[in-house]
Amino acid sequence: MLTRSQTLASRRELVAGLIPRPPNHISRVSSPPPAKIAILDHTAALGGGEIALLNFVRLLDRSRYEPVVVLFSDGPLRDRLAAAGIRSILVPLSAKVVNARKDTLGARTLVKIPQLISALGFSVRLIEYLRSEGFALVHTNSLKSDLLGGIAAKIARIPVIWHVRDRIEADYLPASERGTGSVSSVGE
Amino acid sequence: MTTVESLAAGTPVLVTPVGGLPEVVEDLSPNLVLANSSVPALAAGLSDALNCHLALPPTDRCQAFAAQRYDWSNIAQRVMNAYTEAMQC
Repeated sequence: MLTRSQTLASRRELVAGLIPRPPNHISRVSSPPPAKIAILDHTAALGGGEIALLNFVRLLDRSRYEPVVVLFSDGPLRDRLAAAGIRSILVPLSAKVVNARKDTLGARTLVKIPQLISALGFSVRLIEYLRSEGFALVHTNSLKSDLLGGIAAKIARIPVIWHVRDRIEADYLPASERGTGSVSSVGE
Repeated sequence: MTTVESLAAGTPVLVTPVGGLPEVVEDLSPNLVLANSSVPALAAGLSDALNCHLALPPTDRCQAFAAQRYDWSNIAQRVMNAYTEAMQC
């Protein structure tokens, strides 16, 4: 014969047994997934900016950030990134735009370029790619990637950081780039 | 790059106030930035430095400054700080 208190205790055990307990892996505090960062560069040739990219990207905290290097042309940087375990993807851009001089860049100059249609096609592909991958941030690592990729990221509604690797001077940068005030920037 | 490499080797660098050069050295010592890019300013800066009339940072300070500012792990940390700030906007 059970006493009243024993009955209540057994009922509590019965109820507790009916409620599924969370598995151990859920009861732990789970950290958010790493934020996907698109790092854009117009070239995969090993210039100063690209060597710097290679050096800092492999030191990013991979538990917080998942970097994907988006290159507008192929080159030795891709193999170096692969060897460092960094994912890269090629979104090809017309060689005439890739190889255009920095001081000739700007909206007016782009209009003069006969490959305008291919440049627009490139922008559409880049916007679609940035949207499809769910990037949290776009980091542009060169002037040309900022001009083209920065606009694409703005259209895709992704925040942009322009990594300033150039002098911000009238004798060096086009006015359109010197006047870019709506992006965050880091210099070194 | 030459400026940073020189500092990393412990040698102070006098720079003209052009482009990003002052940004590299002025936090180490404002004495390292010449008044302007003229020949007299260059001559005066070199003469003062070589004749000990201009206080220059010592070797260990140059090396520590270059390591603290331009070590890749520190640069990566600054990049990550910028990521955090940009994603909060």
